Amino acid sequence: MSPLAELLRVTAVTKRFQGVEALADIDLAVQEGTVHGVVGPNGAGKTTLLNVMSGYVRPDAGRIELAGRDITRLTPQLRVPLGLVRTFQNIRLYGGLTVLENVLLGQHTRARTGLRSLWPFPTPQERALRAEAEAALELFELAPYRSRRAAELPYGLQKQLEMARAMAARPRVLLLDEPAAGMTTDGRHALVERLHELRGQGLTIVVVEHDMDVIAKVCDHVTVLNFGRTLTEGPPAVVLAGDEVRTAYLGT
Amino acid sequence: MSPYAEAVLLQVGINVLLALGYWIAVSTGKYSFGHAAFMAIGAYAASMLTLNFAWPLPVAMLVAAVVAAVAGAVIGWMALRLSLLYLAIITFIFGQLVELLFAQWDYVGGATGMIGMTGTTLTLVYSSIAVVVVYLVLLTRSRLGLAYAAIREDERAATASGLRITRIAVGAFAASAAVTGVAGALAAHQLMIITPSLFGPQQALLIILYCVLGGVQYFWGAAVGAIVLSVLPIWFEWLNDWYMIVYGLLFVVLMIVRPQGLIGRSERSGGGPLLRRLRRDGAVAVEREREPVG
Amino acid sequence: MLGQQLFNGVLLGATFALVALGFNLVVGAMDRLNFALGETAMVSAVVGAVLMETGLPFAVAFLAAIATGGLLAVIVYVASFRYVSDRFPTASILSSLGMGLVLTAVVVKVFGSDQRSVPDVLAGVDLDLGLFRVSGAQLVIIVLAALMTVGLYVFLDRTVWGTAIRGVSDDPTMVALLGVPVQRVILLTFTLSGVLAGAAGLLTGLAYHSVSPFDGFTSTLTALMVIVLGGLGSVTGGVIAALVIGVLQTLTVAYLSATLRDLIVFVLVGIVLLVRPQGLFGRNAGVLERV
Repeated sequence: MSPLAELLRVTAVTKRFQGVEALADIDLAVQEGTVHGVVGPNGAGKTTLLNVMSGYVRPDAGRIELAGRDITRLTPQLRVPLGLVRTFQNIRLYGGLTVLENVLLGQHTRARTGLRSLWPFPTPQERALRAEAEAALELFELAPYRSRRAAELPYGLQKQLEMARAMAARPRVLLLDEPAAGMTTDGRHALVERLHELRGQGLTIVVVEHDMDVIAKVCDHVTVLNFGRTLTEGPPAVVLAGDEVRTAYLGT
Repeated sequence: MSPYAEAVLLQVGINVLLALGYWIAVSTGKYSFGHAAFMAIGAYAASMLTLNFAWPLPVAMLVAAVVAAVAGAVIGWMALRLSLLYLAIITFIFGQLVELLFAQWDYVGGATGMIGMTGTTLTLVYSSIAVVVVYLVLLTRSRLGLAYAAIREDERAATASGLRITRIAVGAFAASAAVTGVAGALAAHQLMIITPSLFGPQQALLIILYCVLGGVQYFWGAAVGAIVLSVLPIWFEWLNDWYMIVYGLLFVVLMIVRPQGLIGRSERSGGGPLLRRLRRDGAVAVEREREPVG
Repeated sequence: MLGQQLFNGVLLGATFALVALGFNLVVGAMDRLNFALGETAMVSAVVGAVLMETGLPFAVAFLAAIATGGLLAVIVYVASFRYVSDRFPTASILSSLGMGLVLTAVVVKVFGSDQRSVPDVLAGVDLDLGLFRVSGAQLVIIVLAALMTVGLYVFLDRTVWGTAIRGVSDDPTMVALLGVPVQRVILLTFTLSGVLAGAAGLLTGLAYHSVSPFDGFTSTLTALMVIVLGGLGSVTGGVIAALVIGVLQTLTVAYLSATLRDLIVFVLVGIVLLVRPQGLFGRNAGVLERV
């Protein structure tokens, strides 16, 4: 493994909501180039953990590091240019804008976006970004819908668009919040393939997911949360077969 | 051209400028309820320069734009960090503060105001509009304009795309204030006399109505709204003291039937908000999206 | 002298508090601002004053004023809130501003734009409490304002409907799922806010011995400053902020200058916005963690 093995690190993070501990002293290390799954029953703190990593929730204690840099106090929008990009559980697209515009906005931190972007003749950089956006539409099978409003797309394609938009930021770490939720069996297969593909390109992925099948197929490493605490962690084959997970999900 | 026709064209042009200026702020989804204050700032700044220092009006207009933009940036910075309700409250209060300050400032004549400004010509008004229109055409095709639209659509998604929302919105607010300031400068030199009360809440509402009636989706919709609302009163003079009542009801009806304005696509398929509301069960009429935590 | 000024300030603040409470109730239940509330107060005051002029007792005029306030608030709710899409957060503000214009214009049309004097009540009463004196009208104002504020607290805290209102402000979806008739609760909230505004209108008129069709705008403005100072949606914050502003205005007029009265409040509000934007008692006022 390279010296930068730990790309994203969560150390001793605690978060309380009105006295309830949503996260209690969580440690988590995401290795570069791996897919890291976070699982657990409803209310285990998975989404809160993702919100803490992406900056939407500020932890009461603990720190978050990206490639060795402390990002605990950075707002979400400042984490994006550093390479930390997320999707949302209930999809957040710019519904009134076109599919292409959604992807272009994904490139925001990589493009000239100030007053200088008003200059009517595109710079070589801008031309390259536009070409890249078109290519991304092909890749995510969205090209036929290029000029449609995002809100008009069916659910599955909206999820795909959200991932395309996230990828347009060229993330180092992609945080996915329940990417398989509401997907058909075919959609889940396609998702698993896509995640394998992205991992093959060297992308680091953190995925919060309910679907154990997806987790088992894509993850290199799994962390199990319950009541805001880390229950167990390790390779999916070991963890998912263990008693702790069954206990957490089914009770005893 | 008859003096009357010229006066009408000047008035229409200035109102179009007001609507276009307001549209810049609205394109980020931020509604100000005190934009008449920026008009006042532009009007007074330019009038001081032309009256007391004999500056040429075009130069005074530029200064008016800068002063209004700075005021817009300060207010924007205070208000845009907060929720939309705060923006409404703060801009509303700001409008009154500016009126009050000018009314108590003896240098600019206090409540009696300033008198004797001249020099607004059709060329000046319509070339200002041309400049603003070119700016808006470029803006709507640029990534900056796209960022404005993103903020209007979904702020949470925008943060996830790395947009620095407050910074972008403050920029839009300042640009909006600058154009409004120029319109104020032109209005002052057309009216020849200004008082603080000219730029009160009714003027603020008019600016909003110009922009919102036409439609907030395209900037030319705002311009159309301004033209319609500037010309209509000429034919509806017989309304005289029913005027404010009609204006008020116009707001009420518009917000129910087409809150997005007359021009532009309807908000979503399946009927307007009224129809959807009526169809929904009364008890569970409040739908608010909430991001789950945990 | 100082004691008297402080008392006058508290009196003024107590009337501000009523309108601000009305605003905050609606903010709590719907996350919306009803910009016609100031005009609602003004119309109620005019109705009350007209009734008093005809010789009816103050109690009747007061009841009529709060009934007018409640009724107008319901009308504004139907016109500006009920059928206005919540996808446009500012649409209701615009619409209620429009209703405010209409109310003012109607009053001007019916009663003219002149100030209308409000007859005195309990004219013979003049209590000397040592530090300050209380006139009959002042006694009526302070007692009624206090009763209404305390009554609101008790209502919100102790009754089923009050609990429902607080529930709707916390989480409307959840409360709806629990079977609370959200629409009716919102309607009740508007009625209450109108009743408070109606009372505030007539009591303010009583304090100044006059009411003008253009007072509505001033009440809205003052209430908004109270809300910023106390924190959007905070009931207790609103009451305290109202008293602070009332006392500050009165002391400024008494010891500095009448022209500074409004300016000093603007300055205070500006400082609070810079230093503590969520207001003195606000929870977080939707302050997003942003750059």
